[in-house]
Amino acid sequence: MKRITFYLLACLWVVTSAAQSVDTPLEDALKSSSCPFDNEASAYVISSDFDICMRARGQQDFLCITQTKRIKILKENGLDAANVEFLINDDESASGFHDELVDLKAVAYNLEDGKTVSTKLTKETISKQRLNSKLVAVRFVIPNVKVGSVINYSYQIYREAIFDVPEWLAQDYYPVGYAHCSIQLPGYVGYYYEQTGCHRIDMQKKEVDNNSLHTKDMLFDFTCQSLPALPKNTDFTYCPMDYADKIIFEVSEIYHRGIRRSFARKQEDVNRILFDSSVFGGRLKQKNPLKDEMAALGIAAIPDVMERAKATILLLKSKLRWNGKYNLVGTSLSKVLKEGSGDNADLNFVLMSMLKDAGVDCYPVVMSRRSRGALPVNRPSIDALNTFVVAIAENPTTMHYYDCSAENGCIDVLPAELNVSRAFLLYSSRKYEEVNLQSVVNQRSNVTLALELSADGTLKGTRRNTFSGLAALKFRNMWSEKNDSTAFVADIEDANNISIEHFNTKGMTDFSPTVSYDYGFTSQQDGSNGYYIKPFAMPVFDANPFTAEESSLPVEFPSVGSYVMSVDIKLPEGYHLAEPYEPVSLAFPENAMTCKIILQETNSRVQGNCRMNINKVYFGVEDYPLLREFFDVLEKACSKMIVITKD
Amino acid sequence: MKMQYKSFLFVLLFSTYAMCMSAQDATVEKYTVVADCSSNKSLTVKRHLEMTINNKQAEEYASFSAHLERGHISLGDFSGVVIDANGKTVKKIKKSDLITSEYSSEFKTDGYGVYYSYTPSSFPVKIVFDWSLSYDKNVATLGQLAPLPGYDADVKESSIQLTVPADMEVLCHKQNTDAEVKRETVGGKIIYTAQMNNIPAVKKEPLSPDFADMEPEIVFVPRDFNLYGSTGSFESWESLGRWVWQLADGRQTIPADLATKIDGAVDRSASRDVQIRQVCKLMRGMTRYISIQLGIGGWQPEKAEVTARLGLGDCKALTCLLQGMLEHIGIKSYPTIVSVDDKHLHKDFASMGQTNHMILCVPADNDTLWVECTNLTLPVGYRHTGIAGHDAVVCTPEGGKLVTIPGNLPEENLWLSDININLAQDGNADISIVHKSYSEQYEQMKGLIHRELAEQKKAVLANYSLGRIEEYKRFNISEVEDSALIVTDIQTQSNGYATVSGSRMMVPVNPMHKNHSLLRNIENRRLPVETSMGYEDKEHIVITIPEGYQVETLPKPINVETDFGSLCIKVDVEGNKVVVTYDVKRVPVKAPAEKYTDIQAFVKQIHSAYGQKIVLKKL
Repeated sequence: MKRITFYLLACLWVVTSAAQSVDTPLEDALKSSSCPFDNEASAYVISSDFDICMRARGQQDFLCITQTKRIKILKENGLDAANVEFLINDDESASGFHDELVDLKAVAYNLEDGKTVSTKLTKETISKQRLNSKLVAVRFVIPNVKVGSVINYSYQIYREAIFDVPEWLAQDYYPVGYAHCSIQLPGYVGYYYEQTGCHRIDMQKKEVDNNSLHTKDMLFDFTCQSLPALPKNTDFTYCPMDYADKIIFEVSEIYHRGIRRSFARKQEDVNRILFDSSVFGGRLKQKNPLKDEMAALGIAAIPDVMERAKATILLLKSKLRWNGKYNLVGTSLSKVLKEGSGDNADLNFVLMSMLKDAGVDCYPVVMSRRSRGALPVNRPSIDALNTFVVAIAENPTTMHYYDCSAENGCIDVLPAELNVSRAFLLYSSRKYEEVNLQSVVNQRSNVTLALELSADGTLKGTRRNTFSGLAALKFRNMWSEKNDSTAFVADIEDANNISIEHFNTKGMTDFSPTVSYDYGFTSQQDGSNGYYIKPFAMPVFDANPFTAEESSLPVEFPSVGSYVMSVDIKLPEGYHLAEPYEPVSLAFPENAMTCKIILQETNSRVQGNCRMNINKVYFGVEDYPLLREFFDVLEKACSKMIVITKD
Repeated sequence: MKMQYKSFLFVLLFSTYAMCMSAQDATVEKYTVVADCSSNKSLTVKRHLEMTINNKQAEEYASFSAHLERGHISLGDFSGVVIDANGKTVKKIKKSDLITSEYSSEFKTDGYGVYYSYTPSSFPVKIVFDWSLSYDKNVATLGQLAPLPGYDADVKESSIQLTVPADMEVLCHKQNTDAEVKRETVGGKIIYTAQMNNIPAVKKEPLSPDFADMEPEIVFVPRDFNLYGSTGSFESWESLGRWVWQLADGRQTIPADLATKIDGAVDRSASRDVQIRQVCKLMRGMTRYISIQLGIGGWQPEKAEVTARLGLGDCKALTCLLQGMLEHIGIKSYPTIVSVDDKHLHKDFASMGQTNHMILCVPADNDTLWVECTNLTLPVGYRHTGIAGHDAVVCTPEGGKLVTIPGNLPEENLWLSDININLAQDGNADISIVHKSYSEQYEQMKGLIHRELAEQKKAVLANYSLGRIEEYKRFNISEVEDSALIVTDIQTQSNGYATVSGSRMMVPVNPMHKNHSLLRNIENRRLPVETSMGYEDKEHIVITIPEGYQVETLPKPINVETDFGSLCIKVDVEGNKVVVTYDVKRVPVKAPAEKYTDIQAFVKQIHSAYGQKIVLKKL
């Protein structure tokens, strides 16, 4: 099972991007004062080169990874480009994996009195800091770097873990002029590779001789030019790296020195590795540690299968707490039970053992969390998996989903982080099904506002907010963090300039998909020229968040959902809506998002309704202008005030 | 022994809490510190902590962490126990369970951390930690008793016992406690003891003093210390300042090539101020800041010649280099230690933990310049918020001098805006804004200066209510050289600045304060009110009414003067233009708790004033 642990470790790798083959003459680079294709850049990577090949040292094969960069510093806030950090494997145990860092070099070039002056990196500005028992951070700061400097740096890593091929990130936090990557793997290595990002990366593939291993190798050459810096505005994208220009290599098989080491080639292979491992498959077979407690509560005798599942989850929640971490594999069960807490995998394994004892069929649904990136589309990957949730079978055809990290959630209410479009429900090592959890998880908000306006300008009203699904989970999370209902009420009073007279909540700690709160309030209106009332609040956001002129990243909503706000205003005698309210109707293509707002006066009452539906989670870069327009119109519509005047 | 007795005010304050506070997030049942100092080079401190954690808000206290230093601070014994509500031990934590991490925000440091992260499964839960730390040639503090772990936690019982050799002179500082420190001689050693029991919890409230200024604390330091073999005295800031000076003395020598550069860059016939600025400008172009915590506990600066060669260094190294560069042109300057977090130093108790930064004090022609060497993009001598109004110790060969760096006045922290809003009949508007930010308001804008244009625009839109921007006809954020002034110059076409509703148009008057926030209600406010920054925001706004519309409702003029500042709004109609001026001034406040509601009401008035609208109606 060490392999899985290692794969997880590899996921943590932060790989600084590449370098070498520097074509721009140094003198030209020193004299340049801007990036040729981005005149706002504070620094730019003139060239980067990333080289991976396999070599032999005695009987031991290793990966040789070489990174080189040349960077031009253009502005003061580009000086950070001369502070470099990367991680290397350095397992404290002798049997663990190690990287050897060799040949770390860096130099700063400056033009002084027309002459090129170079300053080399010395040991005094190199440091290593152990991050944990397996990883060490290597840091170096290149001396004598100032605005106008050109810096070169390079280093090599000899890696024992030959199946741990780092990904190549072609982009950088600064624009990249030219980037090249070569990956040379012997014929005995099977692999998959995948490209992400939207910029052109040219690829050439040829067979070459490996003089170190005496093998015929396959050499991949990737090149690209004029790449923009990685986007900084990542507010609406869970994993921006999903959309960065990069190449991912994953070793699928090594057949060498008479030994075949097979990794995942099909999804069934991935599943088999998981089920064969002690920390996943082994934990799925674990005995129910809360058997006696379940028996005492008579859970197995509850006739309805979902009620049985609910009672089981409630018992688990009373015994064990989520420690805030996610995992795919389990740690020590006895430790979890003793401490009373564990990560979501630990707790999910316990839950599954309990559900099975209760006669409820359940299965793991393995996935990659949204912030850790989507699962590869065209290949199976064990590396990409990093957690799982529990599928609970109501019957052979109806599945429900639960995860123990959803402390304030319930069945079919998963945190947005786990609301993925692709996951694998594993019935067994051989049978599996791809599932889209985004079709299960949703969020709904329902607001009803009843107001009564008096002729003296007193506005009395009640408001009820009901949240369901993910909206309920988020509200409960916010409420539990606030730990102070007084502050919550005060915030509402201040934001709306009202005085709240009574405030009630319902279902705040229930294991249910719905929670609500309501309050009664009064406020005083100034009516010298009629009364101005803003009947609607903007749905989903307080204001249009899509104000940037353009976006280079897609927009991902937490889930699909709906928002309904109903308003009923009783008018004083002799008062009327000064002029009709123009209804609003907005629709995205294919009804991916819709909103309708209407409001009218009938029988001394003004009644209105705002209904919005988000029917899609993902909106591509090409959708951004329309998204911006949609929320802009919505914001304007919801900021409209109506005027109540006397006849 | 030197003692400082806490102010009577805080005794009263904490007694009041004891009566008012009910359920806390956590309770320190027992906290003991036993320190044994065999010489001024060797110290062992044993701690015992028993704490009941009542809810999730305090669960962080169930975790353990300690800061260590290779060769100088080591962890001795450690044990941890977690006990559930029924008194059952649910977890034993051994020393081998602790996780070590060297990873830090510093580029280089000898320090590292050990920690154990624990998530309680239910509440209440009790944790018991016993651990000891050994200090070798790093004995700057002999022992400290500060038993409140943070807000919303109270303390039942706490004590400290310090044993020192008979010939060691000890200084003690007490803050916010009237606990008695006893001194007795036993077996040729001196033992100091003190207890602090039944300390009520402090509830976090807005606009309150720093927790560090409110918590009760007893600290012992040796009068004469030995840090990594370097000896000094905590007898006074004068003696500590002398030690700091001596650590740097002789390290300011600059290399010959740099001396030549200075000679070429500095006009020796210019005024002293000009020469100082020229040297600073030269240094700005050749150095950058990197955090390095090495050298006599992070106190000794790198030699100026090394810093000059590398072109980088920490605050001490850069200060030392600039001192050497100024020395070359005959200008005396002095390293100055200050805390960027806490404004005040204990005036009659010198210790190392009170400061965390070094700047350079340069006596100039008319005034003293306080130079921030880690950020020479700031105007030379500009007193940023991390040092303005802060106590500091100017280190000279004659000793340290405790001073207070002058603060920036509210009227210096100025925000001045000239705004023209030219409305169209559909509610769109052509808006031009010329906005000047001075001093501390300049500092808040400073981060934007070198950002990319898209980020600057995003930041502007996040703070201004400009509707949807169709295009920027003009967008420029610039810094006025050698002046703490940033000018934002924008002209934009805004889509839907005003909201058209039937025959009416609702026009926001002031687009500049989108994120102005209110102060939340606090029932039974207990803490005194304290704000440190004063400022003045002035806007002159001209709104041109579109053809076919007339004014139905205007904003109300307001003129309010309070102890916390003033608010003045004037409204004039000049033909088809509505001219509105805002002048909001906030002054630093130190007031009793009961004044909170008055400040809250004042802030609400400002908030309402910023949210005012003009209602236009079609003719």
